[in-house]
Amino acid sequence: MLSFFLRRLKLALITILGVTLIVFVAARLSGDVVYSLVGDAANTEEIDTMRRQLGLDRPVWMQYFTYVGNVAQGDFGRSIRYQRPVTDVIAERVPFTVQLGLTAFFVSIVLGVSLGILAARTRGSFVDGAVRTIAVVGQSMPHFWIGMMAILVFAVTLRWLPTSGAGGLSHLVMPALTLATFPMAAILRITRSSMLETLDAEYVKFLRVKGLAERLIVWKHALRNALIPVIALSGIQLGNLLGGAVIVETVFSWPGLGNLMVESIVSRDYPVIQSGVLMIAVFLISLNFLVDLIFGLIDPRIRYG
Amino acid sequence: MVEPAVNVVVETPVLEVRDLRMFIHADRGTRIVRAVNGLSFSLGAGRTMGIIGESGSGKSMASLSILRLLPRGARVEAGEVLFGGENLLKKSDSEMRRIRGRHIAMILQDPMVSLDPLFRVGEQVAEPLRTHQGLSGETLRRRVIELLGAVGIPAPESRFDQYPHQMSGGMLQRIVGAAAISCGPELLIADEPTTALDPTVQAQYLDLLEELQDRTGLSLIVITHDLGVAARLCDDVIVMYAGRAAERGSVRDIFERPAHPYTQALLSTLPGRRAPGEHKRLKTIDGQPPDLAALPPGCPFAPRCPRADDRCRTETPPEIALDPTHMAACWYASDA
Amino acid sequence: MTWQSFRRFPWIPVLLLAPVVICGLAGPLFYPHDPTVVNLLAPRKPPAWLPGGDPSFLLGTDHFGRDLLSRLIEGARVTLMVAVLGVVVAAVIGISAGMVAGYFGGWIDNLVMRIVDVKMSIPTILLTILIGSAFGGGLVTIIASIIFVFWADYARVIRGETLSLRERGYVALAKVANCSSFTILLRHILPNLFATCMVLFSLQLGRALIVEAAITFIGLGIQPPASAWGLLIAEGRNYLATAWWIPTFAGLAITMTVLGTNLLGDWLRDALDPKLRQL
Repeated sequence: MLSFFLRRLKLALITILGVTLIVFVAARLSGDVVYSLVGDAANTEEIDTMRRQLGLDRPVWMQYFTYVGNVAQGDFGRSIRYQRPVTDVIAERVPFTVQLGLTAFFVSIVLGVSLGILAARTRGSFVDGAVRTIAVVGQSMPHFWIGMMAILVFAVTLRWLPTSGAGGLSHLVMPALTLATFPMAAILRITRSSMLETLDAEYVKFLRVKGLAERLIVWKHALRNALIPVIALSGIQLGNLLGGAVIVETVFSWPGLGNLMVESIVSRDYPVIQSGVLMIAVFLISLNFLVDLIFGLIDPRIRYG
Repeated sequence: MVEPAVNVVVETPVLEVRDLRMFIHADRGTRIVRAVNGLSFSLGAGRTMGIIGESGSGKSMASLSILRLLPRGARVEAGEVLFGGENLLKKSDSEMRRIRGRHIAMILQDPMVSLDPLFRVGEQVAEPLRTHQGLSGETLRRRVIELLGAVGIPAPESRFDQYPHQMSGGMLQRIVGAAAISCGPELLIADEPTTALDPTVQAQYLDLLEELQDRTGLSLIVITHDLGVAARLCDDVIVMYAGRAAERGSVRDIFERPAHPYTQALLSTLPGRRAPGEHKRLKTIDGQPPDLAALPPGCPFAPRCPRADDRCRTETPPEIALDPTHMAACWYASDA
Repeated sequence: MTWQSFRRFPWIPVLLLAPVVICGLAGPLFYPHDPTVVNLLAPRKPPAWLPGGDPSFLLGTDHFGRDLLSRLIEGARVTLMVAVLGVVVAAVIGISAGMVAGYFGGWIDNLVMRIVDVKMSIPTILLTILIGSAFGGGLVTIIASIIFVFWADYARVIRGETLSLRERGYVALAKVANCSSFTILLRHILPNLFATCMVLFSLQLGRALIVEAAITFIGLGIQPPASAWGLLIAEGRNYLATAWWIPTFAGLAITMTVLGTNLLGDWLRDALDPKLRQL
C-alpha cells in the first residue's frame, strides 16, 4: 500500500508541475504584464524599472522557477481588475461553486447510480429502454442550452423559479440540475454496463447457488464490484462538472468561480484566469489522488498488489 | 413405537428427474435452443452419478435446471424434478432459495472466478450458514474455520481473513467446496470438477470429494467430459447427447457393455486400457454435434452414426431397457 | 438488402445526421432567404405556425430580422467544419503520439502519458479559456482548443491498443524480417487501429460540437456576424422572454447532431468491435 501511495504521489506532483508550465506559457503569451500594471502613460524608464522589479529581465527558465516558487508559497499575483491579490478574489467565489458543484455531483451520483441499477436489473424491458434513452439524450445536449430551456420553462413561462443569481434553495435548483445532467448520464451508462457485467459474473452465480437472497447479492456483492469503474469515472466527472460550472454559472449568473473566469475574459484579467485554472487543476489532481486511494481501500487486489 | 411389520426399506431416490425439457429462446424468440430435451434419471441416497458428454450436450444446463438457475431466455418447458419427493419446478422462488445451498449445493467449473474478489474467503464460506442456519458472531467464525479445516486447508484461522486473489487455484477449489457443503446438503453437484485445475491438484480434489461423501453420506452428481473422472468417482453414469440421455446405467454397464454407438465411439477414443485414476480427455468423434436450435428428425446422433439407417433418420428412438438399470436410446441397443 | 441487414442498419443516427451533413455541404442551395440579409422591419418574427408568424419565415426571424432557418442552415457549415477540422487534426496528433508511446515505451511513453495527465487535470472549458487568454478569441482559439482537448483521448486509447498489438506474432515476424519501426507502425499496427479510431472519431465529433458551442457561448469562439449554432444560442439568450425560438431551434440542431454522432459511435462500436465498450 505504501509503495502504491508513493507512486501515485509522485505522478500527482509531476502532473502539477506540468500544469504550472502550461499556465506559465499561457501567461507569457497573453501579453506583457508590465503594460497592464503601469498603464499606457508610462515612459520607457518606468517600464524598465518595473521589469527589473518583476524579474522579467532574467532568462525565461529562471522566471519559471520564480513563478513556481511564488505559487508554492501561495503568491498568485494580483488581479488587474480588482487590484487585490488573486487568492482573495478567487476565495470569495469558491463557496458558491462548491455549493453548486457538490449539489450537482450528489444529484448526478444518486440519480445516475440508482437509474443505472434499475436499468441493469430490468434489462431489455421498457424501463431499461426509457432510462437508456434519457442517458444518451442527456449526453447530447449542451449545458447552456439545457439551462436556457429551463429558464424559459420554469422561470419565464411558469414563474416557479427565479431566473438567475444566488440566494435560497430556489436559486440552486435549476443550475444544479442543469449541471448534473451530463455527469448523471455518464454515470448512469457506466453503472448499467458495469452492473450487467457483474450480474453475469461467475461469482454471482455461485452466490445464487449458495441460496443468498437476491437483495444481498445485488446490494452487497454486485453493487460493490460494479461501483469500481463508477468511482473511477466519478473523479473524471467531477472535473467535467467544474468545467460545466463555468458555463452553467454564466447562464444563471451564479456568482461562483466559473462566472469569475468568464468575466475575467471580458476584462482581460489574465492573472485571475491563470491562477484559477492552476488552482482548479491542483484541486482535481489531489482529488484523483484521493480516488486512487479509495480504490485501494475498496479493492484488496490493489491494496495488497 | 411400533416396530415396522416388514423390514423392507422402500428407497425413495434423493433426486428423480422425469422428462426434463429446458429450451433457450435466443435472438428475440426466433431461435429455440433445445438445451435439455427429455432427460430422465434417478439418484439414490449416497450414490454418485456422472453426467458425461461433449460441451454443448446440455449437461451443465441440466444441472442448472435442477437448481432453477437458468440463463437469460431459458425456460423449463416440461418435466419434473423431484427432490425428496417434492417437485422443485413447482416451488416458489423463496422456497427455492431455501433449498439452494442448504439441501442442494453446487460447485461451479472454475474456482478462480467463483468467489467475489472483494470479500474475504471466510465471509464467503460463512454466508450460507448465516442465511440458512442463522449462525453469527464467534459461533459462525468457529464453524467456518472448522469447515476450512475439514476440506484440508492448512492453518484455517489465518486463511479466514484472506482474499481470493491471495490463494492458489487448488486452495480456492477447497474454499468453494467448504462453502458448498457448509450447511450439510443432501445433494452436491460438481460441474467439471477438474478441468480448471493442475493435474496434481485434480487427484487431491477427487480424493476430497470422495472423503466428503463418505463422511456426510451426501449424494453427488459429477458433470464431466473426462471419462477417467467418471470411471473413478461414479456409481452410475449418464451419457448425454443433444440434450438427452443417449445411454445410462451403472459404471460397469457403460464402460464394459456400452450399448449406444455414441458411447462406444467415446470409449474408442481412449487409447489402450485405462489404469485406475488415469484421466484421459475425450478425443473428438467425426462430425459435429448437432445444432440444438435445428435438431434433425429421428435420432440426433444419426448423422454421425456408422450404423444409422432410414429408421434412425426419421424416428427418434425411445430409451430401450437392456436390464433394469441399463438403458440406451438406440433402435439397435439390444443387438450390441 | 435483406430484412436482417435492413434492421441492423443504423437508421436513427443516419436520419439524424443526413440533413445536417447535406446542409453543411450544400447549404447555399437550400437557403429560403439570404442568411445575412437584415430586415429591421421584421425583427423577432415568431415561427410560421404561431400568431404573427410569416409563412416565408418558417422558423421565424432573429433580432435583426434575418431568417432563422437560413441562419441555421448556414450555421451547419461553419459548425461542422470547425468540429471536423479540429477532431481530424487531434486524431492525427493523438494517434501518432499514442502509437509511438505504445510501441517504443520507455521515456517517450512516459513523456506522452504525463502530458496526457496534465491535459486531463484541466477541465475542458477552463483549458479553452486559458488558450483564449493566450491567443485571444476567434476561430484559432476554437480549433486550437478542440485539438488540445481531444488529442489526449486518442493518445491514451491508441497507446493501450498499440501495447497489445505489439505483442502479436506478425509484428514479431516483421521485426525478424528487418522492417523498420516506421514500416511496422504504418503497415502492421495502424490498420489494426482502424475500428478504434472510427468509433472514437464519431463519439468525439459530438463532444467537439458541444465544446465548440460552449466556447462560442462564452464569447471566445466564432464571432458575429458569422452564423454558428452556439452563436445563435448566445445571441438568443438576451431575447429569451420575447423570442424563445432563436435559442430553442439552434439548441435542437446541436442536440440532434450530437445525438446522431453519439448513436453512430455506439453503433460502430457494437458493429466493429464490441470490446471497445470502455470508450
